[in-house]
Amino acid sequence: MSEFLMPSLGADMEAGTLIEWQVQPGDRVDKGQVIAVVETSKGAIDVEVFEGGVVEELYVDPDTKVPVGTPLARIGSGEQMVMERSEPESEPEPEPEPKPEPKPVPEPRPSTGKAPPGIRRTVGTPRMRASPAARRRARERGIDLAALTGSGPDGAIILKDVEDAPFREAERKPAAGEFDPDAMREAIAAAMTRSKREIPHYYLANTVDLHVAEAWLEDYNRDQPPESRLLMAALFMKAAARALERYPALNGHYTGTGFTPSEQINLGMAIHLRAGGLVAPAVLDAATLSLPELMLRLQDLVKRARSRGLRASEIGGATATVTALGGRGVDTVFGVIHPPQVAMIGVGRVRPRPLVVGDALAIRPAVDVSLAADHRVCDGHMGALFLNEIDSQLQQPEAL
Amino acid sequence: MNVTPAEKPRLSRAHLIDLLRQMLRIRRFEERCVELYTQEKIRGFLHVYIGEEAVGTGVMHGLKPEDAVVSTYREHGHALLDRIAMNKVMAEMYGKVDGCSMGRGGSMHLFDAASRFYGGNAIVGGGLPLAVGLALADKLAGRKRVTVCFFGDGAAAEGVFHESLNLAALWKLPVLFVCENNLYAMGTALRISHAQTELHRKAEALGVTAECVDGMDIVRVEATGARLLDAIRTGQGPRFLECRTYRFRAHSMFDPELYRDKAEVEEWKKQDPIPRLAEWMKHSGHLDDDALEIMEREIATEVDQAVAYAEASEWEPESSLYDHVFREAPSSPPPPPAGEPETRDLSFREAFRLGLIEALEHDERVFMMGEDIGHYGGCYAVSRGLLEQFGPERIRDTPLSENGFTGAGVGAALGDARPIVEIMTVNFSLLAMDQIVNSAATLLHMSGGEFHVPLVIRMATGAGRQVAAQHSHSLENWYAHVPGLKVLAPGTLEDARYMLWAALQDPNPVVIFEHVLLYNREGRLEPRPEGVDISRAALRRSGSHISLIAYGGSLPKTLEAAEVLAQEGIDAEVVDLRVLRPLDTETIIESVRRTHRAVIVDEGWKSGSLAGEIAAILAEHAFWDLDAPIERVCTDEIPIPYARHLENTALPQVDDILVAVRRALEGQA
Repeated sequence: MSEFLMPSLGADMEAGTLIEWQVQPGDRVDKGQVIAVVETSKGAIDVEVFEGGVVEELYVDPDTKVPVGTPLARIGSGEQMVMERSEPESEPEPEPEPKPEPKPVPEPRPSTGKAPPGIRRTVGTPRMRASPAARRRARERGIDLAALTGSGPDGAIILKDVEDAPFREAERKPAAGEFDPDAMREAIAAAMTRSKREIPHYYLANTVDLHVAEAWLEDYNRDQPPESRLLMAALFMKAAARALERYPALNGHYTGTGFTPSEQINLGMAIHLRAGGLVAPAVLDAATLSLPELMLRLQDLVKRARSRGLRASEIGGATATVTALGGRGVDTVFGVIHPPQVAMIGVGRVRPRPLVVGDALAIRPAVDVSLAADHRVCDGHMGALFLNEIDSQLQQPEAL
Repeated sequence: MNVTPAEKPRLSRAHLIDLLRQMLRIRRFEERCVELYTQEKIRGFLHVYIGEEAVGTGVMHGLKPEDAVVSTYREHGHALLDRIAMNKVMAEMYGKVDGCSMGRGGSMHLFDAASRFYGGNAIVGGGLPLAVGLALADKLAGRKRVTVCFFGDGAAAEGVFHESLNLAALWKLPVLFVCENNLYAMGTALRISHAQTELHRKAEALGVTAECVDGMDIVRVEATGARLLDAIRTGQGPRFLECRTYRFRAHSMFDPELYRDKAEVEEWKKQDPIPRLAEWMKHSGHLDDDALEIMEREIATEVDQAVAYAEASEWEPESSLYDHVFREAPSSPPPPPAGEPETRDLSFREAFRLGLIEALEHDERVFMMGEDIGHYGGCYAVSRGLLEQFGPERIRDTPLSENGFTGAGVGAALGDARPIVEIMTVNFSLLAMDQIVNSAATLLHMSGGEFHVPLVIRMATGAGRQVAAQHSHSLENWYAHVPGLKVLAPGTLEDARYMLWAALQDPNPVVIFEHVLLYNREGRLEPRPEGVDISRAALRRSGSHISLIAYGGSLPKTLEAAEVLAQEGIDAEVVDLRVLRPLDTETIIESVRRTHRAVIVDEGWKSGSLAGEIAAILAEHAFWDLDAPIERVCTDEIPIPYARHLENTALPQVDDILVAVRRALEGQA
């Protein structure tokens, strides 16, 4: 038996809102099956279960925000369900109410527009007099209790006050499942602040000649239907994954107990969202994928990131990340590492450049590949070897 | 050995050997228990029978297998005498699952249904009314069996001793009362606790033929016991045998024996019944040293095997902790066999009476017992006319001895009768609380499921009749606190009419509270061929604004309040608890989840009340649904006064309910 907990979908995540259950008590689930959708500051995320079994009980109702680590459901053999049915308290209830009630979550902040991101509401303000039922309904509707006038004893806010509250767009908090750019900004702020506060970055960059790669790509794509054509991005990702395989000190997580290299290479890819902000979902086990497979994954990830259909393991699981800003017209990227990872690989714009080839200048397609790495884990020597490894990989595209 | 010629023929060699073996078995078993206690294999209280073996062995030799035995906390010897296998007794000492009480009872609570061994009762005197009830059940069913009841000198000072002997003598019941007078009630000497130290004289005063013998002389004990058992079997009523005996060891393992001289103990040891019999047998050529040694070896082997058995036995898994709190009730009990076929107008009193008549007519095991239920017609006239209809055997007037006759009800239920015990008011039931709480509620669990108690106890409750502070209280919560009891509070005519039948189909002890103000109340009873359940609360009125939770005598007041509120446009839901234990928490919680507000009406005092329990349940399970503080309307915390205006002020009234509702709805309207 195990508890299915509100997952941590990033170092910056403190709480999440359960949006949807995709299973019911009694359903059998397999390891890796998506069983719930959770709204985070990064958007809605499919969450999979890490253990097979039977869903014995769902503790938390949809549209409930709970802290990371809060039990959401119990997965077991199913025997527990039979036992509980004989107890009167746990017989099926007519309406799905949370049981046990999730741990309390800080009240929604009044307006994130005014307060600087990441700053908590002042502690020590007098506790609002509001009935439990009013508090829960306000949370469900995203209404700020502070904006209401209570009609209960001594001005306490009661359920009616929440239900009668005018529905004002300006105060409206995005409903579950809707994208909330403010929240995402806060999340990015928190992660990047932590990164720059905790991680001693060092930076290296290298210009890579891509004329072999580009020729190979052109050759490969010539016979492919449009939907199967490869992009240079797939080659960069694969080359980075291969290089990480060789230099494990750049692939893994740095936590309170120090650095733990990861055997698997889950290569994050920073994706800019049209509504603002960015996410960096991971291509799981990227080093083992063929280029066509990798290409499909990248397309799929971008699509799902923009439609907020990412999975928990993709969101929280990257062991290193690639950020490519070439499309935005810059040559070189100096990345900020996403904690708890220890390396950010930057890829700039691919364009013809004058390169010295042999004894002469030549015009070649080239790109600046950079590395921001965590100095607590490795030194510039290794970073340099790593960037050269990427270069070597890109010189043999047929082997990627 | 003092034996009359008439008794002599029974003393064959084989018989004497058997007596000696039985005593020696007990002695060696008890010695091993003491040793195991020091090794921490046995814990808790351990009272051994060393020195007193001749009493049990002598008396029980005259029993037949179908006879019943009721004993005390010093009962290992009685259990081992052809009743329970030594393995099972030793495993119980260890607290193992293979013990005769599954490890729930321990040293003081050995039970066995197959051999009719009814404990193992550790409330001094508590076994006596059980024996009375077992014998009563036999008598009512026409079975020729005897019940033997062992108790100590300490019990003779308890009120229930007198109550039980009186009942047994009054009803000429087949009980042999055996007083094991070892001169000390725990550490208090006989002369300190009794003015009349000839305890059999107390029995004589109560009308029970009594004798006193040297309890260290097994031949004497056996011969006298056999004679008394013969008298009982020939219908001469109960007999009382006082056996003067002595325990050679301390009262229990915690006893430093500050209260008696070592010299006194040594003096009594000269009377040790085992060497006394053995020497006499050797002297008369019935025993030689070889035979004794062989006997010792065989017993040592049996004890060793019992220890090995106990050691090898498992601990009961914690997961079955809740087994045997209740015996499972039948899932579809038979409906009332004589339900009212047509709608009729009647009072609660008539409804209760119809329920009683139905039970008495359709189950021959059912009988009623209580104060003034027969010739007087019932102090609230509920049972008027039943004596004429069913006769004095089944409508049994009792003396004023609540603990005695309630305990007899427990015993009769153990003996497969279906007693309905009536206690005049809940105030008087406090005199019977020992038997209700310590026996009826606990026996099933304490015996590891061996014995259930299908007993129904009816009692009046509540105030409103100007009968002041000793006849008016609502103490339902005292009983609703106790695991093992089911507690009912009918507040409607249909429950008054049909709950009794449902209670009689339940294998557990059921206490029914009848509010005195309901008896005269009249109303309309619709046909209900399926009867009523005794497991769920009921919605007596649906509403969406507030939940009013009440039971019993408070229910009509609460419904009246709901009517008043309806005229004001307030839509109140009324939940009738009906069953006070086990509480139907689900219905309560569901109602409040809908209405978000609760007012609990309970005629008990607020502190420690059922109202408090329900408020706690709502705080635990419906906290996030509450939109206002929970309100409680209870009786003022004073003994109920006599004067009408004071009594009315103290009790929950309709106006009090309205005030509480309006407070809970503040800001809502």
